[in-house]
Amino acid sequence: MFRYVSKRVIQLVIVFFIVSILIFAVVRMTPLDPIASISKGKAMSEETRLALMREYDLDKSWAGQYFSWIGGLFRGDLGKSFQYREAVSDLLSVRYKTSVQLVAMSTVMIVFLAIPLGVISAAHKNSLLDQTLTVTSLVFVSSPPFFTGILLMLLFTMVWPIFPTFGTGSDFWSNMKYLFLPSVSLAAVRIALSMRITRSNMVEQLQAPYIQTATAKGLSRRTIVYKHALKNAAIPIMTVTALDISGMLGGSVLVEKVFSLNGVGSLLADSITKSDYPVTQSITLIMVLVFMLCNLFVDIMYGIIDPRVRLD
Amino acid sequence: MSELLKIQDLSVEIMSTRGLVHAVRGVNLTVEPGSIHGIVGESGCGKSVTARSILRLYDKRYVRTRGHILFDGQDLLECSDKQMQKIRGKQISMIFQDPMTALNPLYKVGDQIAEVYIRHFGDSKQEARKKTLNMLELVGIHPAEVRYEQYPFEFSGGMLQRAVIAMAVAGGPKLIIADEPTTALDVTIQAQILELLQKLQRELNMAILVITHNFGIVSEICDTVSVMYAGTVLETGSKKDVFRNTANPYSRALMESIPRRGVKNQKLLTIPGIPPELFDEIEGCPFAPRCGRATERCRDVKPVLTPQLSTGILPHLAACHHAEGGTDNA
Amino acid sequence: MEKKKAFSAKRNTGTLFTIPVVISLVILCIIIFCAVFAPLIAPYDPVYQDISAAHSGSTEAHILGTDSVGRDLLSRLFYGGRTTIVGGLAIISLSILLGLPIGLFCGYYGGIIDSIFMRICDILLSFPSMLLAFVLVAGFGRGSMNNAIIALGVIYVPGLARLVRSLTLVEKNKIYVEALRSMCYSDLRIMFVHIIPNCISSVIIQLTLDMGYAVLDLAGMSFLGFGVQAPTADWGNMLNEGRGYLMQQPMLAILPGLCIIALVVSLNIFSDGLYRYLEPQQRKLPTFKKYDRMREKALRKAGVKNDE
Repeated sequence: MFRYVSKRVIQLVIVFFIVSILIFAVVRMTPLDPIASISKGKAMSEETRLALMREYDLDKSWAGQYFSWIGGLFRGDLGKSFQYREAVSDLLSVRYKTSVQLVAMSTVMIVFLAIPLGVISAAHKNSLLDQTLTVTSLVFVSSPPFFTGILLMLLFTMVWPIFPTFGTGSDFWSNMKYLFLPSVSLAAVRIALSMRITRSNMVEQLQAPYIQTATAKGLSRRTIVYKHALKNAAIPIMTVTALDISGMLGGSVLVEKVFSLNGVGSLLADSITKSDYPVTQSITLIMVLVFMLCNLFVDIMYGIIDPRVRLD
Repeated sequence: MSELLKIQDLSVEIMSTRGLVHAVRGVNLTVEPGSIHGIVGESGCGKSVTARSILRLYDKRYVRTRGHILFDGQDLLECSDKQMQKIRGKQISMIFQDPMTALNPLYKVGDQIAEVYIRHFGDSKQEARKKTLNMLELVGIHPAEVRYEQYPFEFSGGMLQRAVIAMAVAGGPKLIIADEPTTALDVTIQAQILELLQKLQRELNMAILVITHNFGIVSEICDTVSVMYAGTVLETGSKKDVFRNTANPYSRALMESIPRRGVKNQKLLTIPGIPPELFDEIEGCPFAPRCGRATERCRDVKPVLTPQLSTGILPHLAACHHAEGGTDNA
Repeated sequence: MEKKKAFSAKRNTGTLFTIPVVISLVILCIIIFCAVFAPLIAPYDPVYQDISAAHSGSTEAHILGTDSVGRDLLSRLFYGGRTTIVGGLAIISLSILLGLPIGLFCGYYGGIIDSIFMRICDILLSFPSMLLAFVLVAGFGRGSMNNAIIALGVIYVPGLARLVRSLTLVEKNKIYVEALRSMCYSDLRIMFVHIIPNCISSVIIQLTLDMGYAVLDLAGMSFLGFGVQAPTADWGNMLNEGRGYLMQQPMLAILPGLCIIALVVSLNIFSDGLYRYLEPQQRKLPTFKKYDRMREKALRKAGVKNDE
């Protein structure tokens, strides 16, 4: 197990560095002049220009810029934003809470809604409930998160105003209320998707020969579904949950815009619009890291659940 | 009523993607307590479906059964799901063809056997573990303590089949259904598994219903035999009667298609044609299109099981117009 | 005898055209028709601004009303479908153009090329997919539909390449490939003429599914302003524009959204139907009740005929 985990961790570190180089390089392909985006297009003397270049490390070579970015990353220094002329870490520190809470609430919804519904659906395959859920999930899978958001907004402002439709609350608990609709619209697609995948994996497991053995032993249907089949379906279910989190990191950019939330996602969208690449590259790298850590967690769980992996 | 298991006019229809398969078409057979009964036939003849119907191991939405399966006088097809759960594993248990997939890969082999004790005898985990260790010894899995803690992927095929047998025997059943128990195993292991089954059958005084396509297994371990073809039983009786006084041409053809030890220049017979599809009704004798002795009557009228020459107390029945009691008997 | 002829328990191989698939095809045809013939059927130029008629509701002149600068909503929906479908197709074409050969070569030859490409795929897959598209768009320069399409095309490549690779791995070990090799057919010919047709069905199923996701992703890009730019009509950016007038004129946002859903749902149903058709194991079985009804009906019909 130790060998297995350490192998995964080493892989993660390698991939992380390759990804960081990739992000760094791609973001710098931008045809726009960074100085223009700092000065917002105003004319300036050559002297100020040089001073600005020095301030933003732009006088260094690309390699120098990369190493000062990556080096700073470990000290919590992510460079300075072109458009706000503030440290990226300061920009993030005020915004990360909203985004983390948003994604966390959506994840909770997925875990407590999509997985149980998928399991029940599979256990009662082709029942009325199963068919209803299949059709419903099909619609939600096909609805873009920003459109779900817009519909919810419309519904809860015009018809049934019990949830606030924009802005954020003052603390964690009041925020729950503010972030409820955004997290529903963020989670809707993923819930539908995860439910379908959970269902198909459970259906597959329930047809496996070992299920027949378990039935022939005289076990109850409940034990068979929830003990024998679910454990085998757990790996793909967790893998897809990690993918859900990844999908929601991207989706949060859209949803935060719909609900005018001041989060990391909207900052990312903003930074791309304004070619503010210190912000773009740092946020992207952090999100990739979050996704990679989720995958690492799934890999470790994989080892815990499956003896074949653990003892390999 | 001395029979342990009596199947009467069992008919099973299975919904499949290709249509409704009438897989079992009126099967009659009996298993005496403490005996080994073999069902032989080609693949697709309905022998496995018959076996699975006894334990009702099917999705009842897509399988329709008619007839009776009397076990100790109780009709299993009439039992509720709860009653069936109490019968499975305790009164009747089953051994499957492929031991490599028969166990849950994520649970310890020992725990999977112990589940039977916990479920049927309400044992605590420790008690169940102790009984399981004894059972592992009994079926020849050593050292039991170590093997208990291992997972299915750490076992060989033969060892896994022993574990599956241990699981089947654990509940102390009166009947074990063994569906092709050695087909997936190496030839050398096959003999060991058959020996183990015979030993347990004698020691624990159980009955075994062996499903196989291999006449060799039948001749080695069975007391009584049924020959199945296209969802019906063509001949049934004691092993001696079926082997010596073979009454049905299909049974004879099957026996002549296996090589015998010590016989030089034996001509191995092949049966021309293929078994019929089991969707619609078959007119006349199902074997008629492949049978050398088929007459007009065979193609039109379905023969029924009629008594044949019997050397023991058990009846010997065969369904053939050319056999004794048949109308075309010459 | 009559009974037997009237009804057989054996069913022929199923049909692709089940009721849901037919409905989805009809919707797809309508959408495609409107998109292709937009110039002929649209009542107005999609970018023509009639400021005097801005924010009109449903009137005789504008059936679905107009937007904030007086452009006809119906016409914009027709033209928007054009952009959206063309965009989706372009993304999918790009991904197949790259993914198919990569998967094929990696699967067929294996070795170093294979491991290099598969590592690259691993790295691309370690990105949340939309995020990768965002970064690429940031790099290529945002605000051009082509850049958005290239960025989104790239994110579909790894998945497709892996699918093709795994299918090729299965096919290349089959006997027919060995036979072709023994006849000295070139590798290219074996791959493109013989292996591709044998694994194309899975690829097509995946592509129809991807097409739906591509439409959603492109709409998302346009929604953020990274994709299709105003004044070009596109369901994604129409949704974004309509968002500003949600309270006054909700149809501006709802209609393009519903169009997207209709298109993507249809694509999903079609893909699902195709899958069930090509993999009979996945087909749903009729219940006995339904089966008995079918049988009775067939027999009754035959009975009527016999009487005549």
